[in-house]
Amino acid sequence: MSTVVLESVSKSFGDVRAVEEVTLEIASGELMAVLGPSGCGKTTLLRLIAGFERPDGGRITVAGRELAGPSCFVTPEHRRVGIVFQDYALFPHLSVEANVAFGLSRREREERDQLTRRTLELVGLQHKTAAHPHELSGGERQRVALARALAPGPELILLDEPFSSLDATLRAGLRREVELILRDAGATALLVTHDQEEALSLADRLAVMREGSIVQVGAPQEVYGRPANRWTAGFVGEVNVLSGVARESGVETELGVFDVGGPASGEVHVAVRPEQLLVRADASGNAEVVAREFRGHDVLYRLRHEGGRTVLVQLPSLQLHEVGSRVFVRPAPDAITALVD
Amino acid sequence: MGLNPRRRRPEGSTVLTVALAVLIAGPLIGLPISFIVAPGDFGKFSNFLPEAFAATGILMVGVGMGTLLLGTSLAALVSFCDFPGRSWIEWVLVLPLAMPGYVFTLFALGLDLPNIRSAGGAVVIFTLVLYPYVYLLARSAFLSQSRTLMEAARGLGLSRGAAIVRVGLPLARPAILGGVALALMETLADFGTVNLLGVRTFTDAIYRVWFNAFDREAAMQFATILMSITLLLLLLERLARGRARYHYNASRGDVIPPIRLRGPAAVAAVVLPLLLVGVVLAAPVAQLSVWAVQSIQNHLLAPEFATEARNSLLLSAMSAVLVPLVALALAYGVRTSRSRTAGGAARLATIGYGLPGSVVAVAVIVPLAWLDHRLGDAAGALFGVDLGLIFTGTVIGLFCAYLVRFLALAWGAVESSLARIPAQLDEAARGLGADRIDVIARVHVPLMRTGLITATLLVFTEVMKELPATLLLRPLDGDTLAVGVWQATTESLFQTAALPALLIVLVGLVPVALMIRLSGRRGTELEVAGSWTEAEREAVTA
Amino acid sequence: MSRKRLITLVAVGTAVLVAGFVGVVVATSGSSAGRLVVYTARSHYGEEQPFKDFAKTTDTKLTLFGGEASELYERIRSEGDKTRADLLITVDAANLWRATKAGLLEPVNDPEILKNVPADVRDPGNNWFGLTTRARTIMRSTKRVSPTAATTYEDLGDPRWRDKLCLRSGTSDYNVSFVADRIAKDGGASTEAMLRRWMANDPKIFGSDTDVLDAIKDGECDVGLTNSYYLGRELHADPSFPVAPVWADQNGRGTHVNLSGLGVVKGTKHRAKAIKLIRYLTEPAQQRLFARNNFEFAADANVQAAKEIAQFGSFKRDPIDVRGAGEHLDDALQLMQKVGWD
Repeated sequence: MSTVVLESVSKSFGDVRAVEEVTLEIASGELMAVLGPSGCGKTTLLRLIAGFERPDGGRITVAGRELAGPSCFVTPEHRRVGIVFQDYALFPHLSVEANVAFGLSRREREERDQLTRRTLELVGLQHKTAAHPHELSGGERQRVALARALAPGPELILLDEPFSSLDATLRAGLRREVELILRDAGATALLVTHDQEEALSLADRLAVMREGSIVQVGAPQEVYGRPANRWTAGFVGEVNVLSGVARESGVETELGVFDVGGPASGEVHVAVRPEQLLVRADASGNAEVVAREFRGHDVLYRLRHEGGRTVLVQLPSLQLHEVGSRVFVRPAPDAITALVD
Repeated sequence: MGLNPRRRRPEGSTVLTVALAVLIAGPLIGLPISFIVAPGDFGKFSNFLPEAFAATGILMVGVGMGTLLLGTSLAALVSFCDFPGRSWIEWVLVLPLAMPGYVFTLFALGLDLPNIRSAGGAVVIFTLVLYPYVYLLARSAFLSQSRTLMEAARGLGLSRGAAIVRVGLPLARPAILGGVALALMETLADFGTVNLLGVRTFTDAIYRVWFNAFDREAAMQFATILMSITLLLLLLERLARGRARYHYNASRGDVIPPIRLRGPAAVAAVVLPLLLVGVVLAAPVAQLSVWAVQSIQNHLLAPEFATEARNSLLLSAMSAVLVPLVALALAYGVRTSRSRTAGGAARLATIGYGLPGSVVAVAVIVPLAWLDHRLGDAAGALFGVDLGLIFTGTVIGLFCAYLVRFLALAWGAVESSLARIPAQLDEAARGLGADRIDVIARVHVPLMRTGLITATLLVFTEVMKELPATLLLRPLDGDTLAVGVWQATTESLFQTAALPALLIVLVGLVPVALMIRLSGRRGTELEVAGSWTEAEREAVTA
Repeated sequence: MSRKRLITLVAVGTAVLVAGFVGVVVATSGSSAGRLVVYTARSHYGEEQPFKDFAKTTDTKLTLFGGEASELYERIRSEGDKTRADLLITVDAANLWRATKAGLLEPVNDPEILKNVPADVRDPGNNWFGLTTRARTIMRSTKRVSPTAATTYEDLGDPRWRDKLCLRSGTSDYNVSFVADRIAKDGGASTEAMLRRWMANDPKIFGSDTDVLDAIKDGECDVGLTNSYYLGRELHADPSFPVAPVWADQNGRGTHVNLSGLGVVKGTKHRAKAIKLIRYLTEPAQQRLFARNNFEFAADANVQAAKEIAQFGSFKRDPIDVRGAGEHLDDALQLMQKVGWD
């Protein structure tokens, strides 16, 4: 059953159509990511769900309750939707405990204390209850923000770029931590981000958004492996877009024949990921190494193909090719690539 | 998404904010109308202008230089040097803020100090009582300078002294200029000191044209000119600051290590500031105390003393509630409407702070008197009742003047503390089930506490000290301590003036002491001092 | 802060604010019903006695509202027919003349007052009546200046008083009236010449007549120009105060005399009581109080001056020309600005 249902939700600011006819469903307990470049309308979408903006059209339903629609608008405080802000928006005058208890003010005292304690334990901050936000590290602050949003037991948690103000080194660890907390709490969550790595690694499903519209919704591997179009392909990762002719055996391109996993015909384009190509040293090969970016676990090569185009190839770092050397590049044998526009 | 989501229709809050702001600024905007009403009057008194310009100019230059030198060097001393007692001398140097110019003048005149009744005397007095503005702003600028910058300068071969002069001072320039602008604004707005000292400044010219020649239109025209000077000064200050907003926030523990003073230098560093505060504050307070005791013994206390004290307290207390409330209403209006129009209107409403009370009084009395008469006539014609003078004959007129004059102070404190609350906090609270009232009660009020207290105290003391507007607009039984001091001083009855003057100074010490106490809390020192002077600075740069 | 507390606070706050506001308005403005309101420019320090006595003996509520004469005049003008003032007391004739001219006073033809106040110190139209007169004359140090060193106002311009002359500020009503009177009687050119000679002596300027007298005592200067009663006050406190008056221009028109007087404000609702107060203040008993307590000359010629002043003998008075002085007030102001009398 879907917890969150958006039906043709639209919002304009003046002449700018920030969100256009967005339709989306999020299942109960699901972690959905909305991925898009800055300015694509994803934050507006989040604010529409939270109730900070009023949609121009469409309907928003959470847990069967209509929150916004043609004749209905529930104010933010009555939505039972928790929000984790980009820079956390912790109340600087309140202790960690009081921050978490903020949304529980109408509960009985005992219940409130219990919920606060349990939520703090969930995020692993039971030893920091008396601290004030300015005394916490970035990661701790984020966990307080999460606990604060979770404590009242909302139907839905919204996370607005929750990792963007953290150090890169902290991010990966916290990402996992946040995911575990959300899953432990059994929360339905919608995460908004412009970081494809974050979206791919964290979400059950992701929705790619561009210029106010949702371009593609699907599981991470689906969006990555079978992007709906060239733009999405490029947005969720590095890609070589090659043109070719569809044949029985696959799509024939200047780099070889690629399996597109389905029927195709005529002139088409395929999106080939750098890891879907193989390279071997060959003095009379079809490409030359122009640049090499060593990334530890793998290496990204920039090749110039004899046809004149630049090709990106990602290989394990077991074997290295020198810049200037000639190589032979060809499709990886089991690669299934996507057709794009 | 930084687009204004309310572009399509003028929001109710914008309309209300603008209406409120225009109501407050209205009298001042109305001043130039006098040029249309009585264009000939200006010429009649134009021979007053050269002298008024000259005297005002001398004061501005003198006080500007004086406060610049005194305030900056004291700030440099306590920021860059270390000596025994530095931590409390730092704060003792702020105390003269509590001394109104005219009280110090009363002290100086009572002691019959030589040559005090001159422009030079006025420059000295203003410098002594106004330097804390420069001192406070310069000090917090110095303290926020990062050590790395100074070390970079030293790495480039500058001595410690040269580094202070070539890096420290230029970096603090915007703050120092801001402080000087504040001091000059206070000088321009003063009436008591220049009148008692017989310095013929612009304020004095306005007073003479109004009350010796009884030409209210010409007085309003002069007031318009003075208002223009003030606005020009504000503009210059804003430009100076806008072009060079150096804000290097030193993280804690990264402050410049002070130079340890020893021997005679250390002695001088302790003695000179104490001597200064002794002259500006301790000596007058001691002398006033002696006179006050004498006045009680010799039955020279003004018979109205008790009434005056009561009125001062009532007026100050009421204004201290009323003015911050209006400031709060404006600040919320601007916050909700998020429109430039509302923000501009609110700033317009605060221009009264840079103006002398007598200008504000003349600006306020004209529309209020008009209203009084129309209202009275209407009530008489319709209901046959005599309302009397509702606005000009009661404290209502006085409150209006205080509002116009001191709104900026409250606005500075309230608005800056409200602006420091990010809109996200409101949204976070709303998302957690808090409605608008909850947001105010549980988020805004606690976070604005310091700002609100500052606003209340600033307005309280300023109203307590206020003289010219009170003098001109006070109702029948509305004499205040300041009026009492003034009337007795003009007749050289220094003993009679002493007790009310002493009370004014002591009340003025309360907010200064509170500021020092608040600053004692770890980590908040800069913030409090900042919010204090920032309130005043906001006030003048509105 | 909880929501409940905020709402309570706002409610209580509003109630207190409104109550306080009303309270302050009522407390400071006072109902004028049945109350006699006197706008007085006379110093009220030590002068309330006759007013207090009147309030007591006639069972009248009486309010003295103090201020500079010019401020009070401007106030009545602005308040118009709604003014609460019943009486206006000034310390110089010019402001009375001005108030009369502006139609702010109403005539009182009360035989008893007319009997009490001689014709030369009251308005021909009976709009105002003199209460006391005061001579503005030369003051000299008894230690350093002989009684004959300066005997005319012109003499103060003698170069011998260079750096030895003390004057009160040019904004003082007394000085403006003095100059206006000279302009009316001697013409602008002659007055300007005199003032320029005074200013050539580089006079020291003080804020009050008392300061001028103290400066002469302390040797800061040798001669000055003040009202005589200020010297009376000093002599009362210290009989050996080393300053004496020189009755100026005794061979000319006589010493400049101004007057302090009062009139009934037009539209008063307490006319009868106001007239009663004027009667009371011009009675010999009260006139004696003014003369004795404040060392002025009573309007009633039969009342003796206080001994502190009487000891300097009687003198010829320059007749008061209120109208002439009044009409030249603006000229006087301009002239003083022009010659630089701060």
